[in-house]
Amino acid sequence: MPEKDNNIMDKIAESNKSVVTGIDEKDIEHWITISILGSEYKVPAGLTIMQAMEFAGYRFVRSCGCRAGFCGACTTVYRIVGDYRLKTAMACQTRVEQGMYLTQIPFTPAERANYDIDKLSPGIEPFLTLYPEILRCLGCNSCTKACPQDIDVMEYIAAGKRGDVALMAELSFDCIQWGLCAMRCPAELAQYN
Amino acid sequence: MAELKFIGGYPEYMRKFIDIVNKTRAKRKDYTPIAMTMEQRDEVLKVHPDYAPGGKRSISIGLNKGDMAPNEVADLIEAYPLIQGNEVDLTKPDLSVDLLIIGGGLAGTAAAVWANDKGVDKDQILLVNKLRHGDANSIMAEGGTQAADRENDSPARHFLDAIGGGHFTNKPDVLRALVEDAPLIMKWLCDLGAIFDREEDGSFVEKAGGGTSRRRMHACKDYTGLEELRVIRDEFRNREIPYLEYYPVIELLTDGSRVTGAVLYNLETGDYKIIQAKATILATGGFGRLHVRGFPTTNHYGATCDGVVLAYRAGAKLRDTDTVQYHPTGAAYPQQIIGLLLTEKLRGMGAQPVNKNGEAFVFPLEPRDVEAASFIRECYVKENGIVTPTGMRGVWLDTPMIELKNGEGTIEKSFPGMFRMFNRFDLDIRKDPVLVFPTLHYQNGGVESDPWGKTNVDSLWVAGEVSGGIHGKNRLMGNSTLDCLVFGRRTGISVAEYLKSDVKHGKLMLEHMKNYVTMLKQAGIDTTRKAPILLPDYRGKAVLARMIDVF
Ligand SMILES: Cc1cc2nc3c(=O)[nH]c(=O)nc-3n(C[C@H](O)[C@H](O)[C@H](O)COP(=O)(O)OP(=O)(O)OC[C@H]3O[C@@H](n4cnc5c(N)ncnc54)[C@H](O)[C@@H]3O)c2cc1C
Ligand code: SF4
Ligand code: FES
Repeated sequence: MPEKDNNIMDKIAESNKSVVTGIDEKDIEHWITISILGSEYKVPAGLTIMQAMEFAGYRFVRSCGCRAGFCGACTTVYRIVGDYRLKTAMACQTRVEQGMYLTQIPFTPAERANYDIDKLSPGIEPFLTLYPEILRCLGCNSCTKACPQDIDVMEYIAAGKRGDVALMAELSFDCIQWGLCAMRCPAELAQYN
Repeated sequence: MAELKFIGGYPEYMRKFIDIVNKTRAKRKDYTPIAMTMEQRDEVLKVHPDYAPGGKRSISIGLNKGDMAPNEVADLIEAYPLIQGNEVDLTKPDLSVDLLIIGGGLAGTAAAVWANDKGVDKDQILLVNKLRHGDANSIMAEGGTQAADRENDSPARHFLDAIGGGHFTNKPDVLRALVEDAPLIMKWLCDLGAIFDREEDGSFVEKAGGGTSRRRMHACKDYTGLEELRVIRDEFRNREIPYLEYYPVIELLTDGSRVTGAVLYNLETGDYKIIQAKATILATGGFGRLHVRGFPTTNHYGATCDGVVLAYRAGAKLRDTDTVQYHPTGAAYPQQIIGLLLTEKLRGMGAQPVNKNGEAFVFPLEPRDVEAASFIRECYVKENGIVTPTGMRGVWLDTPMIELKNGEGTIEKSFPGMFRMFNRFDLDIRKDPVLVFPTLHYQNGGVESDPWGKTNVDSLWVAGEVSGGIHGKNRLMGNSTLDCLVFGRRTGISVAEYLKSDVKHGKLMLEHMKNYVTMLKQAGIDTTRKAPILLPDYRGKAVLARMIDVF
């Protein structure tokens, strides 16, 4: 391209192409294989799970919101071939790995209590009336392990059981309500509400 | 590209540049480049995407004919509707309500709560969302919300800062409403239980932002929007106000002069719904996903300019369509998070922009357009940027300086979101700087309104990013979440007032849309483009090339 000045914008657009218009196959050097809901796809290495699914041809309606780790829409569970462990990830914030086989959980059915914030008093009372099942917690730590935000979920549930609202609010502050804590909980709590 | 060796998340060659930043840090600690003069600002703005030649054209039809807009926006204004009109049955609305709210970000959700508070029955309100309620730009706001609530500050000062930032193009009456209501909004948020950062003595922590002459940025760590939306949406749910998800509005309905409802489309099942409403509040947010001039964006998946398109067809007046806000510090590395936002608060707390030679080259808190342009100049004119393995250029944002100035642990405490985001890709922003480049952030202009959010079209209100005027041609940080809350509240109250005057439902027609199509044809716009686009399309090129439609 000739002239120098006007051409800055073109250069910028060119360098951003992969995130703006989708990826061009000819620019890819490293490929990996992943499996989406049981079907295998070859995708470029280095993409997020979300970008890789789009590359494979999926156009999201569900499971995609902020694309930046703030909304909890892109809840994903996966295993890597040969590893027994079940892992969790935000599709928009996690790099694809060779041998990943995944599914997405776009919605969590969970109860949410209604309340009048002006009538609540701090302490244990509101929890016992609004979310009595909180007492069922077994201390298994599954919720904490499922959290993509590294929140100590079990600990804030414990704080709630003691009526320590301040600590509970502090510990759960970074919650993006993605719901897998509730899906994994053997005691059927809805931690994120 | 040959196999790259990575050290601490960076390829070896980038590591060398990082060493330069790390070595020069102590020297830069007490040095800040001086702010630019007006002439210097004008000079650097020549490489800003808004001012660089090309990229825009004038709108060829409608009330704003002749106004300039980015090509990507003009393309949608000059596009045909998704429906023709005869395929939808307008004679039997699926639901009749007093108030229809389109878009559930901060603005729309706040509007619902306030309308209900001022007497609109909850079952006479419907909030519709394109995605989930909360999949919105609002939830992503990191840096904070402005409000002049300290002794050394005043709404008048706030006004002057905002109008200066907007290059004196702001609409004064709406801006006045913004700054005057700000303290009240802070009180409301606190009453709803929002947890803002506090000093030891319980007063708000307040920080500076680009273009502010006083410290008035209130933040909830770097999850301000998440917290604000969380408490307001909880209040919304507690009031049991009805809402729909995955049901975008694809066209407004009018009786020929006033807005009387809307056509909704179910993104999953493909059927439509007709909603009849006495009043409509449009709160659909911005347009980052149009990727104006090929820039990446900070915006959520549904930020596709729908509201502006719909309102314009119904006869609403737009303003300041010619400018776009690029945030100076979008992530430029790693590839997975290109374009995502690194809040301005990082600079507010000491992080310096630094070039490849380890020089602090610009005052860190210039207005956003100036700051962004100076990054572009550093990378593409002065050739002082760093090139990433994918060919992007960027400058460093020296985040470890925050720890040096404010003490160890500050980053984890004040920027948990940022820290976590980079950590997922093995990058440690406490120890190493991050690479940044401007990213498309905010729709400055939009639908014009009065101080109560009323547009020139009867029964249509606007609130939030879809509106235009408050910020003129450039918005300052922290004024947009504020804008949503102030005008969410004001539109809610205004509609409640309006409904008291015993308004009747109007006829449901699409004549305005059909007339618009006639205008498009008369203007010779021969295109297959359709709008609103609802969602962007990032599918792989190879797959798209082989796509067939068989059922
Ligand atoms: C990453 C990021 C950080 C930011 N940081 C700050 C900050 O620190 N301080 C600040 O003041 N501002 C900040 N902003 C700006 C601010 O967050 C937004 O401008 C503001 O929240 C917009 O709110 P809104 O309610 O107008 O729109 P949104 O929050 O975007 O909500 C609009 C909603 O309408 C829906 N919608 C769109 N089209 C349709 C349709 N056709 N039918 C139905 N629904 C539809 C959308 O899906 C969305 O849910 C930031 C923005 C981003 C992206
Ligand atoms: S998963 Fe459920 S039972 Fe286990 S620790 Fe968490 S809250 Fe308790
Ligand atoms: S899309 Fe919002 S967290 Fe991933």
